[in-house]
Parts: sequence; C-alpha cells; structure tokens
Amino acid sequence: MRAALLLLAISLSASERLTVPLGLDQYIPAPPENPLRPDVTALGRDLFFDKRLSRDGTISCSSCHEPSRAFTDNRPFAIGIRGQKVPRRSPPIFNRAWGKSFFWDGRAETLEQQVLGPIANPKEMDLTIEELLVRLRRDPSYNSRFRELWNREPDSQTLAWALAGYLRTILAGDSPYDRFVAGDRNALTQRQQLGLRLFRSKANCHACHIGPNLTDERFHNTGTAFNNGQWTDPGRFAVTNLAADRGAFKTPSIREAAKTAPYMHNGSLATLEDVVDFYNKGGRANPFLDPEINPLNLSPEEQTALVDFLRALTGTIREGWPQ
Amino acid sequence: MLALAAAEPVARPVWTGPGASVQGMPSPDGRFLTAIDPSTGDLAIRELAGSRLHRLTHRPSNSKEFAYFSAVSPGSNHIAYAWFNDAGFYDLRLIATQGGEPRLLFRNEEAGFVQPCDWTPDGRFILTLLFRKDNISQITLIAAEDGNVRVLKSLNWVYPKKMDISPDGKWIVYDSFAAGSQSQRDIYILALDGSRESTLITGPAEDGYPLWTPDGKSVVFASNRLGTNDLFRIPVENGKASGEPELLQKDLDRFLPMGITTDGTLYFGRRSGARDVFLVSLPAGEPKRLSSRFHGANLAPAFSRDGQYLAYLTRQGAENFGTESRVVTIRSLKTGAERQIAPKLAHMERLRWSPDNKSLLISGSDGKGRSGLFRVDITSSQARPIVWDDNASFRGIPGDWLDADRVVIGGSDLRERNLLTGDERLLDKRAARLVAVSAEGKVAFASYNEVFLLDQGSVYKGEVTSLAWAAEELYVATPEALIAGGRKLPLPDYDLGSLSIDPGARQLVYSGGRVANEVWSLKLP
Repeated sequence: MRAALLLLAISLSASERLTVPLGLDQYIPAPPENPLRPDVTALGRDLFFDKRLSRDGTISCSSCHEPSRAFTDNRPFAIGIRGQKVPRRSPPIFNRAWGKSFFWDGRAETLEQQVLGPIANPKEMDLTIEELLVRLRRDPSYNSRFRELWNREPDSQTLAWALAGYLRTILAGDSPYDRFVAGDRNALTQRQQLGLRLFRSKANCHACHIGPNLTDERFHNTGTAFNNGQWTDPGRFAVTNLAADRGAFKTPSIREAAKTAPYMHNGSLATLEDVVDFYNKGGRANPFLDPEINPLNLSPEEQTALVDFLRALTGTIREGWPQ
Repeated sequence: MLALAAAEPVARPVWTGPGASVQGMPSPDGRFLTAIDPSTGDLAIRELAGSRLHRLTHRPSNSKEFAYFSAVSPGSNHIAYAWFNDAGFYDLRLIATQGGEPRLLFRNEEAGFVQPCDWTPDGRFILTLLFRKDNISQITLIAAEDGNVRVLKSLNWVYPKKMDISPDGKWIVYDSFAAGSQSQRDIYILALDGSRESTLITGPAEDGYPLWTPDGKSVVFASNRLGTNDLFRIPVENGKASGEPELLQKDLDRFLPMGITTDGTLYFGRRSGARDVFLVSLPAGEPKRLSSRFHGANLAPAFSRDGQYLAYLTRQGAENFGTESRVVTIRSLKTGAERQIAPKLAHMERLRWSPDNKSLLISGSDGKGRSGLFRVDITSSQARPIVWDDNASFRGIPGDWLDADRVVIGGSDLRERNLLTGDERLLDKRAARLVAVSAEGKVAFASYNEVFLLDQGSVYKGEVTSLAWAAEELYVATPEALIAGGRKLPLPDYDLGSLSIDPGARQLVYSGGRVANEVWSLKLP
C-alpha cells in the first residue's frame, strides 16, 4: 500500500512537469486504464525506436515516423519491411492524444488499437503480436519493466498501453500562429496575417482544419483517390461501407505542414504551393467530392499569402517526458 | 435511481422588477450580487441586505462599451468582469468592490468573448471561458496578477453554461454537450491542473449549470430529466460521483443558477414573460399569437413568397445566460401543421424563404467559425455556407433571394452572387445593414438611417428598423410606424428586424413581447 502511494506521488509530481507547447490544451486525454505516466512513456519510447518490433529487425516505428522529419518520413508512400511500398503516406503522429479515430481511414477507434496495427501489417513490420510478445518476454529488461509497471509479463494490452502512452507525449505547438492567436499581434508577418484571413474566409481551409490541432478529425473526399475515372483507394468506405465515404480520408493536422511534405494520403502533392493550387481549382471532381471543396478563385498573391501562413504553423515538437 | 431530499427548501425572490440582472453572481460572503446597471451598462453591485445599487465602473457617455459577466474573488473584495471595449470585443478587467480604477487583465481580439466564472480559493487565478474567432470555446485559468493564460481544455462552439471551482481548489465542474450530440448536455469534472477528467452526470436529459456546495462534498445542478426544470444535488468524492443524484427542488421553471454563498444559499436567475410570434391583419388588426405549440420562445418570422408558409426561430432547451440555442419551426398556413428542423449552425438570426420554398437563407454562424449567410435545405436540414466574413459578428450577414439561383448579399457593400457558378458582382458600394427583395426582383437596402432602391437611389431618410415587400410595395419600419407608399400604419411593439408581410399585404407577422429577469435565493438543506 505504501509503495503504491509512493508510486502515485512520483507519477503526479512528474505529471506536473510535462510541459505542453503553446496552442495545445493542458488537459491531455488518456483512457482511465492508461493514464499518462513517465515510466510508461519511457517504456513506450524504447519500444517505438526498437527495430525488434519488425520481423527481420530492420524497421522500427521511428523508421517511418522520424523525429527529425516531424515524425513522418517525407516519402509519398511509406516503405515497410523488405522494401515493400505501403499504400499510403506515413501521417504525422503528433498531438494524437486528441485524436477521435486513427489511420487515414479511421479504422482504429483508439490509440491503443492503432499502435498495434503497423506491427502486424505484413507490408509494414510483419510481426504478429504473439511473436513480438515472445520476444519481449525473453528480453530480461523489457520483461522486468512490464512486470514493474503492471505486475505481469508483456501482453498485447500492456504493449498497447506503453506505445500509446509514449505517442500521447509527442506534442507540436508553439508556432508563430499560436503566438498570434494568444495575442502577440507581431507574431505573423502582414502577408501571413492575410493568409490567415484567407484561411478562415475565402479559401475555406477552416471548414476542415479547425481547433487547436487544426483538424476536425472527420473524413472528407477531396478527389485525391480518384484518377482518370478510377478509384485508387477506397478510403473511409473500406471501414463504413457507405458509398458517400468512398475516397474520403481523415483530415490531418496541418501543424508543421512545411516539414511534412509530400501531402495528401498518397503524397501526390509535393509542395505546399501544389496543395494550395489543388484546392484553388476545387480539388478533383468525382461523384463524392466533399461539398466544402469548391473552386476558390484565389489570386496568385493570395495563394502566396496562404502558403506563407501555412509555413507559420511550424513550431516546436516535443516528445517523451523531460528527464 | 433517484433519491428525494427530506424536506424541500423554499425559494424566495430577492430582486425583481425592471433592471434585475442575472449575469452576475453573489459574493461568497453573501453581502452583494454583482450586476449590470441597466441605466448605464456599467458594472455594479447590489446589496443583498438592502436594495441599493452601487455603480463601480463609469462608462464614457456616447460609448458603446458596457459590462457583462462577472465573478467575485474569494475574499469578496475584487471582481473580475467582462467589458465590451471600444474596439468591439470583450476585455477581462479587475476592479475592487470598493470601486477605483479598473485594471485591464486580458485583451485579445482572437479570443473576443470572455466570461469570468469563478476564482481559485487562493485568489491567484480566474476561471474564465474564452470564445475564439474560430468558434472554439476554451476553459482557461487567467492569472489575476499578470493576465497570463493557461488553456486547460478546448471545446467546440457549444460552450458551458456554467463552470465552478471546488472549495479545495482541485476541481472544475462544467457542463457541455455529450460527444456528437446537439441536445444532450452532460456534466464533467476536470482537474484544475489538467491532469484528468471524468464524467459526473450523463444521460439523455439536459443537465447543466453545475455549482459546488460550500463543503465541496457535492455538486448541485439543473436537469430536465423529470420533464420540468428541477434542481438536483449529487455527492462527489475525489473528482467523481460517490452517490446518486437527489432532487432538491421541483420545477423552478426558467431558472439560471448564478452562485452559492459560503453559508450555502443558492442564488439563481429566473425568467418570466414571453417573446413570441404574432399575426396582425393589415392595416390595424389585433395581434394574435401564432403558435400554441412552442409558446413563449419564438422569433424572427418570415412568410414564404407565395404566402403558403411561415418559418420562424424557436428557442431550444433550457435558458441560457447569453445566446440561446435555436431551431427552425416551419408552419403551413394552409393546414396549421408545424414541424421543426435543426440545421447544424451555431447561431441563427434571420430567415428568408427561397422562391421555390425548398430552402431558407439564414443569417448566422456555423461551428467552423464562419459568420455569414447559409442556405438550408428544409427537407434535409443541411446547411451550406454561401458567403462569410472573418469580420462579421456571429449574427451573420443580411441577404435575400433574387431568384432560385441568385442571392443579394449585404454587409460592407451590396453584392449579387450566383449560387450555381459562385460568380459575384458588386451592385452598390454602400453598406447594407438590411436587405429585402420583392417577388419581381426589386432590391431595397438600408443603412441605419437611409433606405435605397437599387438603381433608383434614396427612398427614405430616417431611422430604419426593418424592411419588407408585399404586393410590390416596400414597407419601411421605423421606431414609430410602418411606412408604405406614403401611408403610416400603426406598428406593434416588436423585435427589431423581425417583420414580414404576406404577399397579398393582408397580414403582418412579427416577434415581440418582453422577457423579465428576477433573482431568487434558496437555502440549500
């Protein structure tokens, strides 16, 4: 009992030190059974960077979500185990504590469900969870850490808790945009301020990129999965089987947009200028194009201002618990 | 499961009559209520032992500034209050209860609405609701010393009706819509350090206005779970419910909990009177209430162009301190049948029927921070933005239909927009606060004190409150009369901007009536 109280005290004290970047909420949602704890985060962090989570020991989570690349890989498509091409781009994974669903098509309802997906995916890490658990149980260090934390050997639930616990500490914020919204009227240049006004008005970016994390966490068809009259990816339809969801993908956060090229679920747009040009033309026509996507009639100057504003979403990314 | 309190406490009126203000709260020591001086718009305190109103701020004459929500410090010696400033948004200010110079604590155009709700027990922070330009509401702590802001949690445009800090300073209780719901309001407890949150009350009912009891062992709240607006109490321990809700007082009607003093007296606002939609036969009939179904909560009526339908806005759910939640009621004038639609809009201000009766043009704002004009399909309730402006207020932009595919848009100038192509053309450079289009496409628009006909120039000079067309004749409502074709018709006591006339010019429909505020107290058992 005394040990439990001591552990709680340590956790709460450390919890006070987890600094949240400007622009994000102090309250970081976490399920009651997996509250934010520094020791869980540390374990999850070690797992995230460990290549033994893939069948042949060549791929870790960080292979596609590199901290130095704003937790993406800057490729149009992720490259998985044995050089296999993954059908979609590696999405940014910061600020996912506030996520409502996970993966581009939202097939995972919780972060704990999501983190196990790439490990077992034959094109990504190709290791069954059962095989991974055997590896972890045989590793004296991992085994003892799981036992210390949850008083049991590694299992799929505690593995998910550890990885999700770490992911919840990857936070992006404190950008010029955040400082401007917090009241510093000089944080954005005049052109970036014009870009922000366009973002919220004529360019209608705000229809989907809203809230502290600049995403509505919903699914929209912009036409990127429709090429020459053919669907190249079912998108959300694969999860819901609803025709209206065909070709729809989850709105990604556009924080750190300047660092997370290429863009869209398939990396089909190389630069921010390409993205603005794509939306300025009204996306790509298809039977289920989102009604919010329409030609914007932005002038070249307005497009430049919008791109400039998107660059002002670059701030600080922090991960893990401060030592 | 529901428990009943042993003896029902007795509620008493403490402030009735003109000027009673419900946007304030009682001081913790029970000496006074904070209030808005109705004659000046200043922040004031009203003694609870007597009935004197002491003005604390001194609003400059001819200023548009005024005081709004306020919260009293734990020692009852300072007041944090919202102040609508000369730039058109709200500051958070501090002033001593003895008066003196106010201190500006927070001013940020990006978070232009502030609502102080409570203080931490040590007096260091003010629990404040911020409402941002992008329609995000935020639960924040603002430091009383330097105005530093700590955002604890962001919510969507549906902001809490009440937030309150526990006496031990560890927890915030607040209400908000359940995830994905537009009607189910639940109650949550959030740790003051942002470390955790739990749901205190959930269920299909509207549960709101939570307040901590002085001992910190329970939360009282309003709920309509029994079909009336009742007061409940639930025991709480370590940020979680530790028992079942208990009914404290049945049927308090339209009530707005304001605060609880340290001796356990709850002060709450109560609304009486009605605002409703009335029909009058022209030129001078007796007003008749239109709807018997949604009594006392209707406004902004509009006839369809063929006179077959009336649409108006109806308040939904419990009373609000600020902007109310509204739905659209559509009434067939042939059968009297009424139905309601609930477009996903954060606020609706005015309606205009499309010529084919399939859509409504609604001025207002949506949950994505867009304030402007929306086209709402009356079959599906789907709302599509037509035009919006970063600088428009949440009330939106005026507009009317030119034909089934084109609308006229007011605001800083007058424009025509083709809904099929998105093409826009400037009609007139003058600002248009009111816009009305006749069945044959004549366009009238008005600034505050002049009415123009498009391509014809000024047709009326003087204060204008509403415009309407009927039988190709323009009706100009002024504060004194309804003017049409040189005739002056008597005008009922109506809400500004709410007039509509049927196409045959036989009937006028308007919203009117008065709602009065009262303050009551209730000693909690």
